[in-house]
Amino acid sequence: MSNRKFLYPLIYCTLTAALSVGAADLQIRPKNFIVTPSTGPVAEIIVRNNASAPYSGTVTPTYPDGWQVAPLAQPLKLAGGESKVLSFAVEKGLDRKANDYPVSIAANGYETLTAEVLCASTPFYKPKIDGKFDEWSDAIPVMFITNGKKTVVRSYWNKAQFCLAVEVEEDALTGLADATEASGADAIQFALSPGKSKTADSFDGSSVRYEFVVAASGSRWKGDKCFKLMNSGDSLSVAAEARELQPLLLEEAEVKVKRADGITRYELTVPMKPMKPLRATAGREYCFSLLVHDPDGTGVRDMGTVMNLNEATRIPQAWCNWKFAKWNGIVPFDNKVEFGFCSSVH
Amino acid sequence: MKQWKFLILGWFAVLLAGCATVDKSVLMTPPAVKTGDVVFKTAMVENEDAFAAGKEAAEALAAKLGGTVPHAVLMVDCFDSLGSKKKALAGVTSVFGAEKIFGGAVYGMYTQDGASDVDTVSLLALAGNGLQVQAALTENMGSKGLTIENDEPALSAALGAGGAAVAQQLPNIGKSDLVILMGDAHSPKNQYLIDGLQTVAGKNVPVTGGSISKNDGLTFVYYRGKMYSDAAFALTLNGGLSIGQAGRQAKSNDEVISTANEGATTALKALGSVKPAALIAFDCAGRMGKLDNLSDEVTTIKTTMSPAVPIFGCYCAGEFGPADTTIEKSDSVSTGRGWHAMFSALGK
Repeated sequence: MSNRKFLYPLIYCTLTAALSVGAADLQIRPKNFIVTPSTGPVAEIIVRNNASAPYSGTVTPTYPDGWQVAPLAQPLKLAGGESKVLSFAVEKGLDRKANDYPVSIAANGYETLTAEVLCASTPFYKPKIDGKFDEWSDAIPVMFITNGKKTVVRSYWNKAQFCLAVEVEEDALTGLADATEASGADAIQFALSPGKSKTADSFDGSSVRYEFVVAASGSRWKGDKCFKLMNSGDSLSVAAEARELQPLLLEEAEVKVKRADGITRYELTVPMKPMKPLRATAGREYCFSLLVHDPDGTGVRDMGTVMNLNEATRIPQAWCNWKFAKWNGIVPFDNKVEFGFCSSVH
Repeated sequence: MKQWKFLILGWFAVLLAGCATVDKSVLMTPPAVKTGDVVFKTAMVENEDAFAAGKEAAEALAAKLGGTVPHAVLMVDCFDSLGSKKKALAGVTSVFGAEKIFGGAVYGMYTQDGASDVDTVSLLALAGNGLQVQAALTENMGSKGLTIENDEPALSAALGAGGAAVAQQLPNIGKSDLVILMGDAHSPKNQYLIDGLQTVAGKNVPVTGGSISKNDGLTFVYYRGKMYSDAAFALTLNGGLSIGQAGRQAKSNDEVISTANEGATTALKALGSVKPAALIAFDCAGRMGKLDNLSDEVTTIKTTMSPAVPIFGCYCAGEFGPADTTIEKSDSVSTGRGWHAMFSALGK
């Protein structure tokens, strides 16, 4: 597989996050940058004391060469079970086209954590949905590898639309027209939520997310389609049901699915206006998570694997089941990964 | 050396500007009457119909002005397409004509009547025989597509020359009571633009203003009722005005609100015994994005002054004004920054 088939090949390894996060009583997670580093964002670090005894020490992060961040270190006191967010102002940061920002975080008494932190940001743009990806070079790519197969996710926003371009390296494409209970269907599934929102603790709660699944659909569906699996305010109890997709069809979505050179390319928009709680505007934080369904290949792929998340954040009520989905026992990470809407990059 | 480079480029730009049409010509209103009045009024209208938003805002502003004819009207909008921006501009010019309209595309705005970040036009009228207004434009600065990472020398030269070219067209800009600078130069590029202006105007003249939206397809400066990209203008106010300024940086919801209150208070206090006639705020879109409730910032600003004082605020891609003195020292009265709210209290 040639890297040239992807616009911005990146090296992200799920192993890095798994080794570096949550291994000790002090659980540390560097949050994604939600605007580009050159615009001087706040770098946030979540620290949780999983022990019953209090923690007292100093947290010292190191950001990429050439960056200026203040303060250089922060004292930290945590009671047992307590968590805090430490904020560091990026006074001078440099954007990296590869979107990989090495960060290390030292805390007294613990091994230094190293992680690759992403700029998880969605620039302003209005792409034409035609199945061509030539308008996506100014989007900020997130790439992850699952069982040797790459997925690259790019996003744009404007006042009318949330827009996605997803490249899925896979051996074959099984759209809805050909899907059976046995084969399952290839698709992408994603969720959008307001910034800092939380998923309810159980299926008894209510949704605060907008969740969609997109699949190649062929003539049976009169073109490629997007289905709305969940609205904000819906009961989470439906998330467990393997629902038929036809009643969930989102007519207002624009979708093109094309396949070439071993890569399936999904390009789509969903209307922004019904998602007013996202309050899309430059600089606003929101939550975005994405799964890829590749039942005849890698199985379920989860963008959360490159977000330095803790394993404890895998919760079943975070994602909706649907007919032809093949989970194979995988519970993905929660759908509340922090992203940001930003102004156009160039 | 850098200053000479800007000056030479600036004069070259002025020579080219000699070919300019009337629409691009320098605005110069009659000298201010020493004991004359200054009048500032604002109006803001949200409406999905962009022409209606512009027209209704302009009509509301005209009504507030009574019979007073403004020297200039500062217009900002947050419509998100070229077509709707043209319509909004047409709505405003249908009431005031094109010659007096200056401004640009921004991300959101506020006045004493509230805040908005969607489909809105906001206007500030600059009027009164005690006020003189001058304005000049520079276009085709040559900064389009250049990045600090890859093109810093060319970018700083282009924007520096642009800033110098604007200033060269405005006699005695260095003695202005206040300069309002708006341009297509988002933070941190905006420092280059004001660097260029200051090579002509000096570093002691108070400047405020903002960088227009950097959203693709929306990067427009408005000058004399027409739209320009890769452009900047400066508008000077004179008439023996007292100006109090403060810049404050913040990157979280609580800090945005607290610094807005403290910054506005500091700017107003700097007027001393002079009664404030208006508070202008060029604010950062990054700050706006941090607000849990969009109206919280203007709500706290309103508590710092009489409800009779008009407030004109807009959220930009970078701001001009004093750097936040609580976190840094600057050798210049005014700077180009990001994450700041730049407050200017005006009185006479």
